[in-house]
Amino acid sequence: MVEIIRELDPDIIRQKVSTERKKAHLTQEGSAVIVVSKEFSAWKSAAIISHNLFKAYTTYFKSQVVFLNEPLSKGGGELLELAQSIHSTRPKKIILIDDVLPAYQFLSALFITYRSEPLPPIYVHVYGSFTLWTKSWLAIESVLKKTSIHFLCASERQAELLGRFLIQGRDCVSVCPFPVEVNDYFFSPALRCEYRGKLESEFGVQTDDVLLLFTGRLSVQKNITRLIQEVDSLIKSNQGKFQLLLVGNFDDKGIPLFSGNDRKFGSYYQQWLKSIESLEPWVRSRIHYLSHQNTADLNGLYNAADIFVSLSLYHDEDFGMSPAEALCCGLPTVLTDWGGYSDFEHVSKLEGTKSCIFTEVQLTSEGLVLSSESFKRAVLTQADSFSSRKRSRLSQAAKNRYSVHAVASRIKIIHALKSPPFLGFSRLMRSHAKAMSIGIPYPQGPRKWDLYEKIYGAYLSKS
Amino acid sequence: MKEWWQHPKDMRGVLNLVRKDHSVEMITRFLWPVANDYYSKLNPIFLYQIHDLGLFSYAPNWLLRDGLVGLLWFFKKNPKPPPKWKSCLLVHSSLVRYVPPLWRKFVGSYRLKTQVSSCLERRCLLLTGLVTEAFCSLESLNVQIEKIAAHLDSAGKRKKKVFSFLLVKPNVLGGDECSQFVCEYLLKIQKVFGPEISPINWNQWLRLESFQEFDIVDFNDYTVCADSFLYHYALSLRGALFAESPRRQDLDFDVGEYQSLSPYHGLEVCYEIPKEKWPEYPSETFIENKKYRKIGINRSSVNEQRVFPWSRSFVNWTQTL
Repeated sequence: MVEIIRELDPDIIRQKVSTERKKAHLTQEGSAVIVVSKEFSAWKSAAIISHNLFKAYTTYFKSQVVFLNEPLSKGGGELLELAQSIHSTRPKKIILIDDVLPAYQFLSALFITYRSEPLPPIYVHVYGSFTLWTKSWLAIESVLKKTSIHFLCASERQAELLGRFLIQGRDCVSVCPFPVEVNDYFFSPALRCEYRGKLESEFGVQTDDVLLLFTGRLSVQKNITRLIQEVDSLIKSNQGKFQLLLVGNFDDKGIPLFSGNDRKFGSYYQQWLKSIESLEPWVRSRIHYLSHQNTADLNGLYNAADIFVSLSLYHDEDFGMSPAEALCCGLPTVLTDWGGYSDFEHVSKLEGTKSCIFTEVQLTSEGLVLSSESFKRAVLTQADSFSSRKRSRLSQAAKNRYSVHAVASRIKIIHALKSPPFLGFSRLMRSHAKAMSIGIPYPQGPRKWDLYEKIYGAYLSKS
Repeated sequence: MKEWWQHPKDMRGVLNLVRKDHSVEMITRFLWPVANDYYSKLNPIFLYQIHDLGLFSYAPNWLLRDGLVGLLWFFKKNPKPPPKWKSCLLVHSSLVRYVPPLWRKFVGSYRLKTQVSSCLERRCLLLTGLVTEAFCSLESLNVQIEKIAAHLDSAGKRKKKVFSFLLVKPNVLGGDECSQFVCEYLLKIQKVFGPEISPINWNQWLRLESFQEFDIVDFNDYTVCADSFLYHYALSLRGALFAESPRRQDLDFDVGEYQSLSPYHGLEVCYEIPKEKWPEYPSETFIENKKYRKIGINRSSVNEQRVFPWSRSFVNWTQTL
């Protein structure tokens, strides 16, 4: 632990601290402090999440907010100064809401600052990458035990996974979905008409075509080539009734748990191209690509589409901002029954129809297996067109769960709960951290009966 | 069948075999980020990464990202292809005339091709490059910015907002003080584009989801790098090349094979340059040139900070070509 603590030693750091840094303005004593980096994450969805969570917090909490001026990669000086500013206000609780701030480093700085004084309860919003940082969390375990810490996960299965890493299980874990800005994403028949027209002239999408839409990073993490494969078969078996539109930039990140992150720039585009070029020309003409779109156009495309599809099996899939936005636009979804995606079933329940249908996923000795049949069935079910009325209802149901206000209410409930003292991390987390420390922990890929299953079994359907 | 998360075999390829020692690290660091790796079936590399010519036998095509100095250095070390040589080396279209006749049978050419054209509606101009003499000399900068200024004036595009991603690098060639060079460089830019230039940093660059509003300018005289990663990055996100003329005479090959690198850009490749298209090689003058013999090119005559494996005088000489 002590590597981090030592790095943050005040005497060493004091010399490094820039005098020009803007100080956090903390005047009111005894309120909650929300810590958020001023520079949002390079991950687009994480940046949106931080922004929306921040809005949700400030809706109900009259909290003091601390902005960090610099990305924290610069070192411990920033953190220590921030921790000192926070300490001086004697806050009742401290809330960490974004993934730019390395929570474990910031907490180390807080412990140094508070020394023997008791720390206020700490609330940490957890992102999908939590499992990649287990070693760092373990490094501060002993000091975490001196306080109560509450983890907020974006989905039920992420909470289940985190619970497996904690001695007290889910006692200090709550589910709080990431909010969607519903002023940006909403259902509008007029928009649907307008964007359908645009897609007809640009890609030849006809009125009676069923338009499948994927938005997000086009990456191996999102299993895009498999999606193309499945849609190819769907198009062939349905005489071309379907068209697929993929929207987003190409991304070359690999899968840290299985193959590392070492892909070269442009390599995923080549993989995608190969996959597209292997299709028969008439099928290829029904698969379209648009790069990153602004929010207004994205909203238009969600409205124009008929089904949102994603076959992601990525281990960071703790929620799913794109499906959440799609649902707020009244767009039914077909998703893998995996990780945070499965939580969208709540919207189905709220709305009373099967607006989110899941593709079966199994973990076998061969790896994670997706059922093509199940995907096909789900898409054909959803293709029985959703009327405007039904879409409007779906949009409303999604807003009731994912709007900034809805999430703010959830936050209020969670913060009313009493957090028990932190008891420590489980042996499973230690085993995972050990596996992570040797580089790529699961080079054979996801396998049943493996350590992977003990952890990510939480992302699978119980049934 | 491959699993969804696996790299396709050909993506890992032979590039893992290239040299990764300290001297390569030094050059790569110096040229960061313009020399950052990217993937292409054409195996883009810098010649300084290759110690063993045998490596070239692993793939049929190799795209040389080097500028003039790297190329001349390589051809000086290897005046003719080794026996049984089969691979095709692709040289940037502005540099093919420096390929010695003995190598020409095995050399093709490439040039950048974008599907997106620069247009009046693009509101921003993004100036990129490394602020160091090895990357773009002041003389070359002058020529380039005058052309840009003339183009901006003629097209009435003076209203474009100007951004810069210009990274100051140490002077690795010796000679003038680095700070003096940087001052002159930046003053020249300011003189043409005015004081309202907004600098962006690497994090901001990476966070740009689209370069749709940007015309991109690469201040580069192709001395050490003819194929900038920054171009590939920006063009792959819908950036456009600013209408500029290259410093050296481009090879005029007819439309070659298009190798897509992104939905919006790629490389046009000519694997076999027809005999009549080859520009005249100024070799006779070279070989007789005493300076060429005198300066030599060996690893002992390194530049001041020992970044590049060639000498300052060698670089000076290439600038006169």
